[in-house]
Amino acid sequence: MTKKGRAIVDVSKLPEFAFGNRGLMWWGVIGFLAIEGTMLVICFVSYFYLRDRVTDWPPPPTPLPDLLVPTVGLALLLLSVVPMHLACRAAKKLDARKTILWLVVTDIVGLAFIGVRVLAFYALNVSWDTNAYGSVVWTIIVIHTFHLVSEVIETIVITVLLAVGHTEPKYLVDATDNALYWYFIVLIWVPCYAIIFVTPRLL
Amino acid sequence: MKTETETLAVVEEEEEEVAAEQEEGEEEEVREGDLPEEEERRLLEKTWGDDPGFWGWLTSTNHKSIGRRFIITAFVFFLLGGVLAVLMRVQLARPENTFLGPDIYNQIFTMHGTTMMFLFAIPVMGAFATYLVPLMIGTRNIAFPRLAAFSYWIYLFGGITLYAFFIMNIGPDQGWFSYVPLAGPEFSPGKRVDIWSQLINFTEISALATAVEVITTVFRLRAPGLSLHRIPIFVWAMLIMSFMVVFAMPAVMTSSLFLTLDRLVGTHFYNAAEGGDPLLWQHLFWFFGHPEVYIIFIPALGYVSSIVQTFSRRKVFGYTALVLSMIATGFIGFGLWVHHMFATGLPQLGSSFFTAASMMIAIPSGTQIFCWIATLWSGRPRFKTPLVFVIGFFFIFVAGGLTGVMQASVPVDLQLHDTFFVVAHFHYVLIGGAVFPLFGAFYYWFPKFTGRMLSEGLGKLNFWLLFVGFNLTFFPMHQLGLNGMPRRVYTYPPGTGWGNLNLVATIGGVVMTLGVLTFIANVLISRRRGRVAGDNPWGADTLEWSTSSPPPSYNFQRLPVVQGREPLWVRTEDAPVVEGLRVDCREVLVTRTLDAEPDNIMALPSPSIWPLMLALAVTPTFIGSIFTPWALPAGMLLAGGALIGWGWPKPRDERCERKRVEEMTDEERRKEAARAQ
Amino acid sequence: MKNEKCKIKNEKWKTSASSSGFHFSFFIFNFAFLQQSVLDPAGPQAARIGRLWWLMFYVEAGVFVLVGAAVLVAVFRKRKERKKSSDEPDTSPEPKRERRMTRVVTGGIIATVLILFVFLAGSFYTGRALYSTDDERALSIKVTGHQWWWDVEYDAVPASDTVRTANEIHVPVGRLVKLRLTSTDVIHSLWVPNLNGKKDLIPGHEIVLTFQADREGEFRGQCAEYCGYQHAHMGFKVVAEAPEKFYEWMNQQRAPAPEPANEAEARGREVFLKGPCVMCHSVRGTNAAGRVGPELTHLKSRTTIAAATLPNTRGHLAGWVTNSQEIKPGNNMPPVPLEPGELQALVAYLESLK
Ligand code: HEA
Ligand code: HEA
Ligand code: HEC
Ligand code: CUA
Ligand SMILES: [Cu+2]
Repeated sequence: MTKKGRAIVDVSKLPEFAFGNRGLMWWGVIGFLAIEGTMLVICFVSYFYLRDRVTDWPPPPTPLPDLLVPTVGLALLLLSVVPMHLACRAAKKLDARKTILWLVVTDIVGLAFIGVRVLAFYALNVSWDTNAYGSVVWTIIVIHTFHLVSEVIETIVITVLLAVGHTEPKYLVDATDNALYWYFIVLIWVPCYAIIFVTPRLL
Repeated sequence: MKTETETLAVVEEEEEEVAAEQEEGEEEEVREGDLPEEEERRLLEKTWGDDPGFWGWLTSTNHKSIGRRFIITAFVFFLLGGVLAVLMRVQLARPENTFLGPDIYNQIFTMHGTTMMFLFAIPVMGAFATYLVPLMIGTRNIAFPRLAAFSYWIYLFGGITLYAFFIMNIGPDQGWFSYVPLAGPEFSPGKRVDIWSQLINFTEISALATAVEVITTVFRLRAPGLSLHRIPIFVWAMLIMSFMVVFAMPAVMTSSLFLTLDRLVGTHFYNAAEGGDPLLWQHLFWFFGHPEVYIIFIPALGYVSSIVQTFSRRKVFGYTALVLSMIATGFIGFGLWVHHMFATGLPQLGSSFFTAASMMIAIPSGTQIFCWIATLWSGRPRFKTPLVFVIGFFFIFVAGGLTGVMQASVPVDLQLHDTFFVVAHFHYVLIGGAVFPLFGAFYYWFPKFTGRMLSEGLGKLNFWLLFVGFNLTFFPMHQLGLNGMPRRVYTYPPGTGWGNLNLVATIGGVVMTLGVLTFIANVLISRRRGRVAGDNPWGADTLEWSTSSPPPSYNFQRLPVVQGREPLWVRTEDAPVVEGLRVDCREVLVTRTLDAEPDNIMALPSPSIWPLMLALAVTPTFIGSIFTPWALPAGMLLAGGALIGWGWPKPRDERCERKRVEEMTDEERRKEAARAQ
Repeated sequence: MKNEKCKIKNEKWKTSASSSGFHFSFFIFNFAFLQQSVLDPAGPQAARIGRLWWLMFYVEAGVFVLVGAAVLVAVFRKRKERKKSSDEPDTSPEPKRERRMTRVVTGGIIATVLILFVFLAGSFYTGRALYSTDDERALSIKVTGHQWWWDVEYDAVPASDTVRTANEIHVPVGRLVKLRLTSTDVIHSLWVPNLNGKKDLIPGHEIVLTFQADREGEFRGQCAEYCGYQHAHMGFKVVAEAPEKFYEWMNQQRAPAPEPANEAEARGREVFLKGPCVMCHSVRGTNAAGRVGPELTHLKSRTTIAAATLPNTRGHLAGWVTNSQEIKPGNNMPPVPLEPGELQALVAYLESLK
């Protein structure tokens, strides 16, 4: 098969890990982001489709959702980007200690936000089985919460992994790819929030 | 060049060295070129091979093992779906036949459609991709091998679940597109529809996982030199298919989630009385459903291209046109879904848009057909079975595509919709457009899969039985549709005059069965007694033919360096190869997305039981959740556990990792970090 | 003759209805009306679609023949063998020929585009013609789909003049008919191939289908959208008749049910009104006003029962009432156990509902 004496492309000196889109995991994460993003976008489209079918939104006598708690939550969630970004930066410098530190901060903000999220359910002022409006807002918020909770758990697992001493560069790369997911969860919440809590006031 | 004896001597010497080295400490890295060839092959085999025994079977993360069992499983589902089809044909052979009652018939056509689409056609395409893409692009494994294993298990369990319920006579009976409100809580009490929508979840997870693997593999694991404008059409096809999966599947995921919620927790997405709308389901389903048919069809274009190129002995005519038209098909495919809903009374202007889009898609399809004809015209065709199947494909698919164009016209479709004419159309495109190429592909790659050739004689017989049987079965259905026969009827009155054509169709079904049996016989016989194939029996051009048949677990002893679009046809004597990957670790070479320049090295995980564990956790969750909501939290705990087990570092792989950053000096750390940005 | 045979068969399916025996009864049952065809239009809508169909058919047949011929010639044409045994692949095909082929392929693509434009224009104009038939004078009928029968109401002013019937739509020849389609359970689809394409009946939507019959006759239609268990037996028919005849029919339908003419019928009415029938069926002129099942006021003016499944004969009515589940398994009418005497009387009454 291989013939001695052939020209050779020597790859033995190439780096054995790489951040961002040079690594494989990044592509996997992007792939799943695309899938989940599409799913949420389809939920949004369904929301507007259902909205279009009736004259009043939310359909009476359903009251408008509250705004305060979700807005506080939104701020908190946006805030969590900062420690995550710092963790990411430390990871890229292969600074395990700082990475762990900032991840812990992020975990705490994430857990706090989950607490606020529970309150946000009450702020909807409608049940999923009241009408189609209730169904769609509940579904959007539950899907997002599901992703949020899994992401917080994953971040905690990575924090623990690094903390117990698995600081091979590979896991630092994983931490940065995981950050990508975190950003996604945060950013996609902005339209979710707008649709669930603001749109009924406008349309 | 060393003479043979010299080489042997060196081998012996080095063997001793290796033995000594291994005694000294496991830590030592062994790279390609460090060992003599024989020894290196042995070590590669040890590194990349599955673990021994049944355990090894369960834990395999090799794309070929997974691909092989994927293909076989999908084929078994094809047989099951086919048996159901024959039962339907028997029932419809005569008017007022009482062979099957409405209950069974409705379950059978639903199971037939669901099996063929979700358990056969989509998975089998992903399966071929899993097996062949890494070989074709010159790497040693697929990008996320454990995900690939998971993808198989979850698919298998989904299929088994569906059939388990079917055998207990509570199979779904609402049709493969489950229109609400018929499939809603009010008109389908019981668990039939829930089983169906969980099956959708199983297969879509499987397909999505495969899609992500294929995309990553194609973008990052190509052999040096295989820049994007050189990858085989087959690989393009799989890539486009994967993108379509990524953007189409979420629609059905969402719609079936809504359906499940409507049925289980009382939401009102599809309930017109509470502000929902049954048409929402149709929009969402077909937004997936139409791309889905191209998800099935585009990979088939890849097979056709490979086969046409190899057997006309020339490079394919119009590479760029072919690729662009596949991409165009992929894009336009997302803008056609409403052509399944013309009868729902949508505004005329809107419908016209979808008519135009649906007709537009004939342009790329036509372009492809014309390019292949041109290739054959100017080539020197070799009439081997794969090519014969492709010629069959031309006739059947074009006929089916042309009836598709008729249906794209709103007024004509109002007559044809939901009749046997549509049944004829989609079997022409599905069987002609996907199953014939698939059979061709099977004849073509069987030597690579097994090392032996399928019999040509039986192959030709197989073709003629299928071709004649197919046309006998489905051609009369056009006329039946025009004569007013709706689809999904378990029987019909004699006076309608549909009896004789249906009888012909049934006879055709029997002939097709003989064709399929011939195929099975051919495989079983040739598996043992077929002519030994050698590396490249067809004189083909793509990289999978440069390694042995069947390929070793590590695919290539040295990754090739590609010099042109038809790598093996244009390869020069002194073509370079890649060297320097570790032999004792599952290292693959990561190259840049566009130009495939070597970029970095990645160690892939070794065999793992966790994919199976995760599938075992997810399956009862899905099934349990249709009986009690508590299955969800319980299942999430299980699945979470399995995921942590999956992700946690394995001692076996640690050897292949870089040392921990804490053990590095600051200097080292800075250097490594800089190289990794 | 007809009725006799049916009766004989009827005896049989009292014992085993689903045996193949009774199916033969269909052979003598209005053979012509069962024959349907998209290509045998009986009105302008179907005719227009038919013309578009034939345009597409002939053009596409031409395309198919051309493409097929090209494939065959491409693979079988004689070629100058270069080196006889050489399997050497051709990786740098002769540029001149490649250019020639590029031109041919481009020509093919252009031809495809042109043909598609013709089709597009054709279907756009045909579609517009089908839609724009909004005519003030159109006969407006509301059709509601049920599992597995059709509820037909002729709109009228005042609303009390509304005529309600089932599974049979009478229309006057030469007048545009506007069907307002909806459903209260699942999605159905109304289709009479000889008159026009189909439109769905969807809960929460009202969809309009127009057609016009230009010749007298009976045209079979059926439900085209799968709607569950008995989707196969959800037929109906359109009876197109001369306007005078149609109005005659209309007046007759508008009248309440005829009074019983003899004792048996009177007794039958009693059975009917006392039994469970009234929960689901209505007979105007009595207090039976159920709307779950088909209107029975003028049952006997229709030629079929159970959504064009059976001829409307005495035997079949009896069989249907005693056990409709064996004739049309899963349908929404429960078996009604009756003593033979009661049954005879009930059937006599039903037979009197002309
Ligand atoms: C492999 C799968 C596959 C493929 C490739 C296609 C291809 C096409 N399909 Fe089909 N289709 C299905 C699978 C597929 N379909 C299925 C499964 C259903 C039914 C689902 C269900 O209801 O259960 C369906 C139903 C379906 C409908 C809905 C019918 C109805 O229910 O009323 C329509 C309507 O527009 C349609 C149109 C088309 C068109 C325009 C194409 C085009 O892509 C075809 C293009 C190809 C050609 C035209 C031939 C080659 C071209 C030339 C040789 C050039 C010259 C051509 C011309 C000048 C016209 N399809
Ligand atoms: C890729 C997809 C695919 C394939 C390959 C087929 C293959 C076949 N299909 Fe199907 N079909 C669909 C997809 C497919 N179908 C879909 C999506 C529907 C719509 C469903 C719905 O309405 O919901 C449908 C609907 C459908 C109907 C309409 C039902 C109805 O509306 O009432 C009919 C009727 O004739 C039919 C027939 C057939 C036949 C005869 C074959 C034959 O080609 C089958 C050939 C295969 C065999 C004959 C197998 C041979 C088996 C053996 C040799 C046994 C050996 C066994 C062992 C060794 C264990 N199909
Ligand atoms: C629970 C409701 C219900 C009851 C009670 C009921 N029916 Fe029905 N009936 C139906 C339905 C629904 C149909 C339509 C069945 C179909 O065609 O699918 C029907 C159909 C019929 C038809 C055929 C009408 C046609 O034009 O197709 C007749 C006649 C009939 N019923 C008579 C009776 C008589 C007589 C009784 C009482 C002894 C009775 N029904 C009791 C629901 C009922
Ligand atoms: Cu009603 Cu089918
Ligand atoms: Cu489509």
